[in-house]
Amino acid sequence: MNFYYPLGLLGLIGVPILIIIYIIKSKYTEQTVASTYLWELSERFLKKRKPVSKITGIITLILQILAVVTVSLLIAHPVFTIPASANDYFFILDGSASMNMTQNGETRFEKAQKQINSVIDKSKGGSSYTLALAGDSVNVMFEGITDKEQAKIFINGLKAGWNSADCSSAVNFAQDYFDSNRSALVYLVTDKQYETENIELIDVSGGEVNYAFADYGYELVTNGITASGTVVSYSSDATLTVELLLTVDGKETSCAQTKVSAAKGVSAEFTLNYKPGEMPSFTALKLRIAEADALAEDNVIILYDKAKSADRTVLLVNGTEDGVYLKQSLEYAGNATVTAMSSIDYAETYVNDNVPDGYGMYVYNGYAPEKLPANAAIWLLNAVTGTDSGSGITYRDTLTPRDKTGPESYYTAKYSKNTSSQAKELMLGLVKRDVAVRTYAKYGVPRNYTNILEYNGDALITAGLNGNNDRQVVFAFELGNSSLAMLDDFLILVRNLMNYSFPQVIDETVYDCGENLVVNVVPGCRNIAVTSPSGNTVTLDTVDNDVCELALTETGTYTINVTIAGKQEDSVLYAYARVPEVESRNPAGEAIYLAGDREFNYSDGFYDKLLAFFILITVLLLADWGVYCYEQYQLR
Amino acid sequence: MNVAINEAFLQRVEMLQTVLKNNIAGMFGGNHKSKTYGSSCEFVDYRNYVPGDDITKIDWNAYARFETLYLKLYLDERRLHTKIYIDVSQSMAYGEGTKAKIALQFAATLAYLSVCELDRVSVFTIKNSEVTEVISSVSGRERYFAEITKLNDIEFGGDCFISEGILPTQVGYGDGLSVIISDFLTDNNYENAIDYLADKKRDLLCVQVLTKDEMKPKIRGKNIFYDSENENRSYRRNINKDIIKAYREAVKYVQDRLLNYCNARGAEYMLVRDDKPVDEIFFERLTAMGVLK
Repeated sequence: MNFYYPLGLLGLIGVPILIIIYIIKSKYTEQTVASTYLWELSERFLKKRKPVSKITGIITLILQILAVVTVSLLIAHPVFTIPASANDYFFILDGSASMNMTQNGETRFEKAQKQINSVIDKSKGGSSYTLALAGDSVNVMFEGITDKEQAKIFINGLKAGWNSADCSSAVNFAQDYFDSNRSALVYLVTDKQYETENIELIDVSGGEVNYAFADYGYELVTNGITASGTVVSYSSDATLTVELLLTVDGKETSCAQTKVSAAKGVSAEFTLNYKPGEMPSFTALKLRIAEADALAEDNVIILYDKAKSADRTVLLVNGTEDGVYLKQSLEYAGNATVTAMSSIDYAETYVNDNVPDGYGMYVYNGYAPEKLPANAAIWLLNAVTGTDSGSGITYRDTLTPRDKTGPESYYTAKYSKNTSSQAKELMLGLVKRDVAVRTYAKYGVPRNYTNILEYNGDALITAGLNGNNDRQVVFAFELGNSSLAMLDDFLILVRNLMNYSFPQVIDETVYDCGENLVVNVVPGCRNIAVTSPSGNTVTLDTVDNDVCELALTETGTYTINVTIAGKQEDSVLYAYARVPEVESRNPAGEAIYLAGDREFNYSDGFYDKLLAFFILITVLLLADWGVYCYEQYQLR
Repeated sequence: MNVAINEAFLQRVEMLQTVLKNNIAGMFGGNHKSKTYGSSCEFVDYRNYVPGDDITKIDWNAYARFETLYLKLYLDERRLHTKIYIDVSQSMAYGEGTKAKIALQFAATLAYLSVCELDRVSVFTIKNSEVTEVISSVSGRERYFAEITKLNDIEFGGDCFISEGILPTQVGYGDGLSVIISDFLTDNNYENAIDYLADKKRDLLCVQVLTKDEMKPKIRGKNIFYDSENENRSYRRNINKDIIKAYREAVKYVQDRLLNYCNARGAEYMLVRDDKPVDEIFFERLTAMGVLK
């Protein structure tokens, strides 16, 4: 037997003290009475005492000693060791979105928490508990805890997420644990059906009814809107009511609904037409399945309008003769309003570090300004800028072929093989024919630039953020000295570069939970704040980034506030994070197992449920003592 | 021991009268009506004259009417002798002496009542085996007030052997009330004294005086009790609820023993507690018992 708090046994010092007090107090008192006759006579009426009654003389002392002993033990909290009875438990708790399905007012996750608590309660004292929560990633929430109550507090504080969870990855953690302790008991608590080995599966699914959207979309038609998609009933055949709601001026209105017969597990198509005559301008379009089910979150899809790009206004500063073609290309392929001016006029107008303002993009064609405007995209075409201009690139050399004519009279530039998402976006749709360049400038380009066209490792066309943190495209050669302008790719490239220079804040408005919200840092952007459905606001890091990402962990509408320099009001955009389709479907998992043979080398457990017993005994002893004292008082 | 008797109380006592059971055989001239015919003023009956009768008691009016001699009979009234025996052992006076005080007050009051009924009163003390007459055949209130102060001079001490004290004395025959005032907390024989007095046709009242503490002791714990009358007698015990319970049974036993013995001998028994006032004893208890009216 051990003690949690051995110092509590110091209370036993009270026992000898009580005995000493008793001995001191137990001296006979002598006194004279009128007659001892009655006292002597009383002996005749004294009933024969039972052996136990012999202790009545010291019953007070006994009660006091027992009370002191039990109080001391109560404080010391004894623990009894039970050999080879404790085990180590490893729980894998599925924290995926499907665990939020509710039946009888209880979610699957809450059911799982109860099941784990039950296992912990039934386990022997001295066992240890480890829990890995499988959400969008696997997190070991606690490890090796031996205090049951503390483990349960941790468990009860957990919440299921809205992402998909890969329990298989969590098993890797369990495998490591199992390898170090082959006697460990591993539990997988999930709502998915797995075939397991060396893992105890606790299934918390309850055959709940669930409906969800499998596909969705809308199209603006003449004087109206048509929404379409598919819905699925996962548990049984059902007739579902799909409703279309529009948010106009902040007010949500039901516009159309239809009935859809959905066979179990099969996508059923629906089409909703709304033709009010004059289509109002709406901020959100919601599709909703009216029937209630276990997971309400996947019954709704909200489609927001993408953020419209600002008007594409371009100031084209020409220092060369090919400015007209470039202007037309920008207007045609880039869908921009282009204002052209000569470099001479520009130089006269903007002197002493003055820079133009009011355009979304500035194109310097064969002319390098002393200082670049800020809060706008910049194109530098054959524009050798100074170090202090703000371009962030460094001129090193101008390369010219040896021959004036013939195959050696030009450089054959090739498109970059960069496979980054940005490179793909910039080179989207290009045929990628080689480009002949007669003369180019060799620049020192920052590492985070994305090269599009290269020659011998030198960046001929590259894009990235300049010193003002604005999007910048650099052509290291003059268009007129290359074949690029003659190629099909040119207009496509201009379109891609314009899209890059005038990015939309968000490209998508509907995401699956667990995906990343991609927010483009538009020119002039000072701050981007994203507020989650639960109200948590995160400020994205826009410094040195042209694209910011945020992991979506909640289902519902995210609000994106973009602060633009010079604008009074923030641009407010919305994105909807929906329950991943796989979580609505909740398919059976693959077979998972722990490699290795189980062993049964249990460690020593303990039993410490004596607290209540000692409290009870103490109360009884004190009560008995009180009754005894009261009886003595009553006899007076 | 100062016997404080309240004047107003004594005036009230004068209104009481002793009720005697036995044939009264006292001296003539008292206030108690005898069951025999006598010479009082209270007419009772007629009977035929027989030679030798006192001719002064012949009813000549009846003779004129019936020509037969009838003798008029009158109730006899006797003067009795009340004898009060007080236990003056140490146990009666120990502690605050409340038993002694109540015993003396009781004796003085009863003596005054007897004097008021034109009876004679004697007060005796019993110490060890010796009976001492403290007040001898007092009659008349003046003598009473002159003699009663002698009670204050009584000294308590020693033991008390009631039978051994009373049996050798002359107690008279059918001539009044005998009262024994004691705590009766003794193994010593007192039954013979009761038998003796009953045999002498004397009305007998046994007054047992106990203190409140003796009846319901409050003492607890380890104690050694020494007897006030005999230091060699002691009682050593850890007084607990069982002992107290047995003690109470002992008190009841002592009371019942005396009560039953008195009842069997036609005597009266009364328990007097020291915390009860004397007027309650006389005007409530004794009248309820029929000893006084």
